[in-house]
Amino acid sequence: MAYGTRAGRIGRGARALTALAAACLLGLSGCGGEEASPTPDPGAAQSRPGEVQVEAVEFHHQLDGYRPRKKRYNFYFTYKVVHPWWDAVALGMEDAARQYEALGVTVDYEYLAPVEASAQDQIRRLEEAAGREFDVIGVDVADVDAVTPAINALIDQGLRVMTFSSSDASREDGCRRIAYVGNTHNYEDGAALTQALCEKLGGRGKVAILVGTQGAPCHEDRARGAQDVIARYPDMEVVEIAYDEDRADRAYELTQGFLARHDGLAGIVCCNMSNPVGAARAVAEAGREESVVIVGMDHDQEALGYLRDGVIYALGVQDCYSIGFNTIQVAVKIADGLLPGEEYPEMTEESTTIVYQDGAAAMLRALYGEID
Amino acid sequence: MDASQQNGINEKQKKLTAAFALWGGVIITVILLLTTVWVLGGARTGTNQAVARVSEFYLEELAGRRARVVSEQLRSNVADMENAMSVLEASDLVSQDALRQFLGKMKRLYGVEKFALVDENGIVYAQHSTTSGLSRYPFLAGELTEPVLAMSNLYGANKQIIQAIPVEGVYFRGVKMTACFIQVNISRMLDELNLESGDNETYCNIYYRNGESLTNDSYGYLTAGKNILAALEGAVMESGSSYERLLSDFAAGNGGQISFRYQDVREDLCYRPVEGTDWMLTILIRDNVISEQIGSISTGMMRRSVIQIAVTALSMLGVFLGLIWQSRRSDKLLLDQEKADGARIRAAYAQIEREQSAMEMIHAAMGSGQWSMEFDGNANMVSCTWSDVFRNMLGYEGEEDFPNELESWSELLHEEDRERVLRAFWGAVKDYSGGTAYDVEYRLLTKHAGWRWFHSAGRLSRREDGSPISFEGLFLDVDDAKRMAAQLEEQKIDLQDALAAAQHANRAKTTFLNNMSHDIRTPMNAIIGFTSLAAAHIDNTEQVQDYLAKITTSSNHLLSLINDVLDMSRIESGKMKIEEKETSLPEIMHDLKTIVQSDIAARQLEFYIDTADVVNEHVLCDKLRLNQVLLNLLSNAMKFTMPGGIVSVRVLQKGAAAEGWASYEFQVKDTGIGMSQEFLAHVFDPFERERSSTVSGIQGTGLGMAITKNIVDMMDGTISVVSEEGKGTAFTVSLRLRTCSGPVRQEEIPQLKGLRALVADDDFNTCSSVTKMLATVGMRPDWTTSGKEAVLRTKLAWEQGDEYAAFIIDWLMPDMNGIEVVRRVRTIIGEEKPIIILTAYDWSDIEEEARDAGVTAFCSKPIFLSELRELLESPFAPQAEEAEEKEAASFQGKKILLVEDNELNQEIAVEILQGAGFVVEVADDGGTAVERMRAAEPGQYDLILMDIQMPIMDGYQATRLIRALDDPKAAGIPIIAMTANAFDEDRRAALEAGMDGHIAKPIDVPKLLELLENILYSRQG
Repeated sequence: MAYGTRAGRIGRGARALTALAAACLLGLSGCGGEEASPTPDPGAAQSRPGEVQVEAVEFHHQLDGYRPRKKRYNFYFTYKVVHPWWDAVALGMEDAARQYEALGVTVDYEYLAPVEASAQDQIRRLEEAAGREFDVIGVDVADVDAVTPAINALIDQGLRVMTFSSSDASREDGCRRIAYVGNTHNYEDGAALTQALCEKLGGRGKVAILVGTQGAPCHEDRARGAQDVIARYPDMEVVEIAYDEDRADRAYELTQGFLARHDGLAGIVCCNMSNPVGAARAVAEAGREESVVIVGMDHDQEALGYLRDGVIYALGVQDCYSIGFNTIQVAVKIADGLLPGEEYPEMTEESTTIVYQDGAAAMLRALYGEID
Repeated sequence: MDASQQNGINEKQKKLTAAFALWGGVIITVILLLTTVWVLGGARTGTNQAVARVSEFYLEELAGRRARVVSEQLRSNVADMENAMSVLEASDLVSQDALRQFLGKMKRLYGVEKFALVDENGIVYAQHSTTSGLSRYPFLAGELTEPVLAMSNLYGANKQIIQAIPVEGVYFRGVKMTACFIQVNISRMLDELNLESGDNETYCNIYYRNGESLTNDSYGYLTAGKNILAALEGAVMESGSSYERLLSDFAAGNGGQISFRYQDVREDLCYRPVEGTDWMLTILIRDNVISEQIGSISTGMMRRSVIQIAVTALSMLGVFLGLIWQSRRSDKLLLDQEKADGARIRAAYAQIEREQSAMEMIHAAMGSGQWSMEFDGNANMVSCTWSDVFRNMLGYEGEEDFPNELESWSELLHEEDRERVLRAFWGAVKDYSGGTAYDVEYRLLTKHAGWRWFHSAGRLSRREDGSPISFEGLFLDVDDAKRMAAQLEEQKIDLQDALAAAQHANRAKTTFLNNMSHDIRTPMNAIIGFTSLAAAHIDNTEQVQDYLAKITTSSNHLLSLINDVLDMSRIESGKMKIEEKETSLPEIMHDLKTIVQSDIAARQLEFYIDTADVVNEHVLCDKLRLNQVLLNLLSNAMKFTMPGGIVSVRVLQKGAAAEGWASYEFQVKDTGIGMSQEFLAHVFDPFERERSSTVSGIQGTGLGMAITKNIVDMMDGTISVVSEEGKGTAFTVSLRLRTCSGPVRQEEIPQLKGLRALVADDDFNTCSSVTKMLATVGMRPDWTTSGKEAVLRTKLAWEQGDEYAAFIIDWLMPDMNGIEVVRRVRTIIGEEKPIIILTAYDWSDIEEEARDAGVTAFCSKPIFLSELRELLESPFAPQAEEAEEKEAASFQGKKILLVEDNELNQEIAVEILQGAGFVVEVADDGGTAVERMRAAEPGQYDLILMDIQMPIMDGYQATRLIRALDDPKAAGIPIIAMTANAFDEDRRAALEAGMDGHIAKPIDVPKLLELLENILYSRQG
């Protein structure tokens, strides 16, 4: 699939650069050089408008050649909330399951989430799944602090637990999950998008930050990355941070509030998929798309439309399809009793591509066909 | 006008004709070219228009049909889901696995991407997954009350049709199921409707009425998934088409067709609404596809037409030139032909006349009469003509005698031939196909010569419809030839029979000679060989004795072979006769036993011989032949049974026979090597042997069984055999013989009535038959096959005070021999009661021991009722006279006149006789013998041994002359024939000539001495 886009890609290895970026940030603030042009985080923002053409999402996967030891697997996956982003992950899972079936290996799974994000609901689902003899339980962590003990409890019962898609609970967090497949660079994503916004604004102006679920690691990390980048610009200010609980309508309302409360609002950083949709709707409705620069995450069709129309400045598109595909591959290996090592890494990183207006139409076609 | 002028005119005329043909051909060619171009041009235009119209109709039809297919598919999908829900059972909902199995089955059954159920919480249950579906499937947002058709544009530009139906009354784990849906890949569905072939593509797609594409597939030059209405906004419409009409048709859901130019390509778009949806099915075809095809076809046609015309013109030119040349040549040939035909016709007429004349002469010479008939169109005879020759052949003079009518001839036909001949005649006439020929032979009654054979044949001429016109034929007298042929046939059959008989006889002779050559040479070889060896080792007495023993064996075998051959020869020539005389069956059986006894012992065989139910012991039969039969069978049984085996003989009297007759069965069984089933079929054929003597080590002539069978046949009996290889053989001879005395006395013996008797014999048959006999005489018999048991029974009977009054005990019993049994029984019963030892063996060796043990008497098996009765009635005393050894007869001083012409035989006979004590004189001819007797002193000779075949006077003549001597003593001298003429008739002839006995050569010394003793001493006695 070839399409014209100016995009930057944040992917494998980016997390390794996170520490370096943080160090740079610390160094800058330590130097107090307000006038100095802040150096973009090399891991978080690797592209600029008009720079490169890449494939944001890889739809043509092949199984990696590993030969499963069983003929049938049964997995349980739970994620944060019912949302199209995870439907994209589900398509990758379906593809992998289909390819295993062609090899004579049956992969059954449950892939469930609450309608509203809730760490307690997730803990309840994990406890319930523990009694149902699944080969592997996968969780997209809704809240690291709340869910980690539940994961460890399952591990203590001898169950095999992995994390996947958007949010991990790592060993540093005290979690003893076996592996993680998904976005390992949420902080960098937030930082890179915000860097683009700052540059668009010339390093000055008021910025509001929309976040998804409170406590959700991915959202919080992106918000943190955004704040850290803005902090490097002395003429910039975070005027407000708000959580939409992964609902676009909520994001819309929150944005209306930002616009009402901050006449000089110059930008909005959106940290999840629903944020940019709601923000763009409100900004366009207010007729302030020329004065308010929006950057955000993910591949929502409406958001991509706003990107094409210039209402949104940039979107970080994650490769959800690969996340789903690789999650199933790693789950099969975990079910076969393999620990991270040669067959799979402890963390399987998936890429994020920053797409600008000139790449929006191609991205739309790639993800949703021709949209008029 | 002279000839040259005429030739000039002709030449000019010919040139004009050629020029006319040439120019005519050119003009026709040009016309053809012009008209072809004109026709093809018009055809191309017309074809283009027609194709355009047809394309239009075709596209409309194509689009309409596909729209209906899609519509039907959508309806069918809903029906499929409803069907699936109707077959969903409680068992499919008991577990997640069961539900997944059901959903998988439905998915495979209906061939969809996904077949799923949705519960009230928006959870989607599919074959391999259970997922949250609210965000993925927008149709789940509201309550589903009727079937829904939706499209899902999945991440990855993967558009899918979703069809869902509401579900009621289905619960899974207590949660209500609200919907069932299927997911169909619309691109895959449309792939089946597309027509693509290289660059000539026809595209099919489906759009919403707002122009939005249901697929993300490419559509001609349109961008994949692009809104068609938006795309065609900039297209250049052809006349008769407008963009506005397209918009209005789409908005209203009307079908239509437009032509336009898009990216400089002329295209036709046909669209039809899909019933039951807000979809429009469209078919796009590029116009150049059709026009290029038609242009290519038209150009090709034009090119081919021009080539065709050129070829036609050249061909016409060739034909014209050929015709002119042929015409000139034909004129000349025609004239020549006419001349030749005239000559041929004249010659043919002359030939016909000659042939007719010749035929008339031939008929007259051959005596073949012609006849002819004529028929109308319905095959009715209208005239019949018999020639005079024909009439004369039958003895008639003219038409008055033999009118020209069919009946004149048909009434003279022989009754046996009439129907056949008339059927052949009318069959030929009425077979319109002409395939039936008339060619028959028959007998006719002639006027003076009676019935004679004639041969008649004829041919028909026919009309076009096959009906006969005339029938012409000939009639030949073949009587002489016919009779000659019949005679020849009879002679031929006779000759064939004679030839067959001669060939058979020749074959038989050859076979016989071959067999005999082999069978005689074998022992002869031994005799000659061992004789040579004996001569070579004459000083070694022991070795010579061994050789002589072998020579004797071979000689005996050779003799038996010759006897058998002679018997067989006499049987086949019908010379062997059955002479019935009063015969004692016990005697036959005892003789038989006596004869074989030594062989039985030598071969270490077990031997059983017994009787059953024999009440007529004296019969009229040929004892000699019956003996021969039984001996043959018994000899074979012994020959083919290995040491330790069993040979048994049994005689049974069978049920009721006619008065004065009795039926017997003689069974000879063995446990020998048996015979194969293949050989059994030929066992009674001459010269048949199961194995060669070299293989089995058993010698035989192969004639014994054939002779046996023939003798039995001559005795009006039957012989049968049952055999199994390795198990043994059983021969059964059934004979019906006339009785010559009444049955053996059956009444009880008063002094034995009610007394007990014990029979002990390991042979059950003997026990059975003796027990019956004992019961017949009034005793109460018990029997046992065990010697030990016999002792026990004796003891028990003694203890019970019901002792046995008589004992009949077998000598050889496996568990305890008879002598020991007697010894023990005697210790119980004392010395008073009679104990008889019954045995098939020679008891002389053990007689003394047996009598010491307490045996009262010996009885030889088989025992007959008369013998048992005699035994039980007589006092049980040793038969001293029987025990006495007969003194050997002395021939010392007895004088024999040996009449023998052969010097060698003289020498042998003299040696034998002198060895026995005789004084021998030799006469070498019958005449000499007569003279000797005539001149002899009284008592000079005690006996004459007379050869039969002698050169001057044979033995018969000599005997008759001796018997006719005046001296009564000389005339009454015993004369014994000693001859190689060994047959019964020879024996009879000897007796008839006045001789007293007959002994066959080669001389069996014991037999000779026995005969001499009988004759010399019986006369003395």
